[in-house]
Amino acid sequence: MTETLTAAQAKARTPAANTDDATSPGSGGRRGTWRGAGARIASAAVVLAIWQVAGDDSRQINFPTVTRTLRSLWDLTASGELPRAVWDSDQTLFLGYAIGLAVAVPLGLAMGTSRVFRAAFRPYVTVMMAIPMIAVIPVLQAIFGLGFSTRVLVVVLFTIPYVTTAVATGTASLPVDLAEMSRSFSRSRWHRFRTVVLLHALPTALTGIRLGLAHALIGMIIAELYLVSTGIGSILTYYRGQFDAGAVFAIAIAVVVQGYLLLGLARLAERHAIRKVRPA
Amino acid sequence: MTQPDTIIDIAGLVKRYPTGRGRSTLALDQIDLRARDGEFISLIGPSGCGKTTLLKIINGLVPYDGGSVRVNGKECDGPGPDRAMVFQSFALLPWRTVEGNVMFGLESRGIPSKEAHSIVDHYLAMVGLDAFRDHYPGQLSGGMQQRVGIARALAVDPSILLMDEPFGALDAQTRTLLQSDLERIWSESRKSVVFVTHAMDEAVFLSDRVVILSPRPGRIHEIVEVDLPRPRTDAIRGMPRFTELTQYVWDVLRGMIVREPGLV
Repeated sequence: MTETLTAAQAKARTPAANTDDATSPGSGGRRGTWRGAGARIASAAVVLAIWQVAGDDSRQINFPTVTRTLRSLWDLTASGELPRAVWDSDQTLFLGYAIGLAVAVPLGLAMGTSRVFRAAFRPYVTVMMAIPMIAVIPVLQAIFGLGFSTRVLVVVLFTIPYVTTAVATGTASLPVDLAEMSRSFSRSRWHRFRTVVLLHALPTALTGIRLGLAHALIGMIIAELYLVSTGIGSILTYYRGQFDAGAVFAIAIAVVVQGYLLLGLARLAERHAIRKVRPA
Repeated sequence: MTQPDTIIDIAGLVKRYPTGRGRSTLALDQIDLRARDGEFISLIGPSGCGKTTLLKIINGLVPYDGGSVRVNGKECDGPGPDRAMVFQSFALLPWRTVEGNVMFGLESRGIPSKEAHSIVDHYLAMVGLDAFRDHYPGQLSGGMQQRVGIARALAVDPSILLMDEPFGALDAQTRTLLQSDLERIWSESRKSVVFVTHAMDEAVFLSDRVVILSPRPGRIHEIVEVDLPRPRTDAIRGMPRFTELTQYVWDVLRGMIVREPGLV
C-alpha cells in the first residue's frame, strides 16, 4: 500500500519537475536537478517494487523477483563467468565498431563531398538500412563460417549504414554561401575541407557515430544469439537451457546496463568534442 | 587596346544556364564592361537580370560560356587573391569568433601568424569591431556581422572588392550607417569595388558609375555617371543632384519592370 502511495506521489511530481527543467534550462539549476533526480529515484523504486511483487521464486523457471535476479547477478559476477563473457562479446563489439567507423566515416565524407561517390554508393547504403540485417546472417554464416570474424562482420554491417548516412548528410548540408565563401577566400582545398566542411558536418556526424554505437550493440547481441558464441550468447543459451530465469535476467540486465553506460559515455564524448572545436 | 589603369576588362561575356534536356537559358548576353583601378561601380537591375551572376563570374566562382573576363590583365579562371567577396548573407563561420572569421582568408596564404594577427587587428579597428573580437557571429547584430564580412574581405588585401547586396539584409538605419562607413573605408583603401544592389539611392550614393542591367537575358542597358563630389557625406543625400540621379535610375528601372509585367 505504501508503494502505491509513492507511485501516486511520484507521478504527481514528475511533470512538475519537468516543467521546472524546461522553463529554467541550466540556470534554474540546482533545485530542478535535485527534483529531477528525486523523481527518477522514486519512479525506479516503484518499478522495482512492482517487479518484486510480481516475481515468483517458487520455481526456477518462473519470472524472478528483483532479489533473485540480483543474487544471480552477484553469483555470476563473483564467479567471473559474467565478466569473462561480457569481455568476450565486447571484443566483437569494439573491433566491429572500430572497423565500421574506419569504413563509414571516410565513405560518408566522400559521399557528402562528391556527387560521383554519392551516386555510386548510396544504393548500397540504402539497401543495408532497408533490409533486416538479421536475414543476412545465415548467408554470412555460410560464407564466412561461425567464428569470431563473422561476429565482427555482423557488427561492422550494423555500424556502417547509420554512420555513413549521418556523416554524408552532415557533409552535404554545407550551406551554399559558406561553400562559396570558402572557395572564394581559401586557396587550399585541404584547408577548406578541414576548417569549413568538416567542422560544419561535425555535430551531425557525431550524432550518427553515437547512434552507430547503439546499432553496433544490437549487432553484437544478434551475432551472439544467432551465431555460435563464446561470450554473452553462450552463457545466455546455457542458463536458458538450465531453466534458470534469474541468471537469464541477470545477464540481460548486465547487457542493458553496459549499453546504457557506453552510450552515456559516447554522449559525453560527443558534447565535449563539439564544445571544444565548435564553441558557438 | 586596354588602358593601363583598367583593372577589370569584360568583353562579349556570355553566360548560359542549362535548363535540362540539352536546353539552356541565356543569363548574360554580350556584356562589355571596363572598370578603372580604384573605381566604385554599382550593378543594378530588376531581379533576374544576372547581376549577382556577373559578380560571381568576376570572382571566379561561376564559369562563363563566351567572351573574356580579364582581371588585372589575366583571364579569370577561378577565385584569386586579387579579389575578395562580401556576401549578402554575411557567410560567417558560426563556430569561429570575429577574429577567427577575419583570419580565415589569411590562413591558406602562408602569412606568418604574427603578421596575420596584426593585419586582423588593423581591419577590425577599421570596421570598429576591436572590442568584439572574441564574440561569435550569433552574438552580433546583422550590421556588425557584415562589418566582419567586410573586414574579412579587406584583410586579404585584394585590389578588387566584390560586394553582393551586402546591405540587403539590414534595416534602413543600419544600412545608411554602413553606406557611409563603406565610403570612408573605400576612400582610405582606394580599392576598386563592384557593388551589386537593388537600392537606387545606395547605388548613387556610393558609386562613380551605376551600371543598369536589363533582364532576360541580362544586358547592359545604360551606364550612369555619378558626378556627385567626394567624399560623400550624409549631406550628399540632401542635394538636388542626388535626388535627381536617384530618380533617373528609378525611371529607367521602372520602364523595364513595366514593360515586363511578369517581373513584379
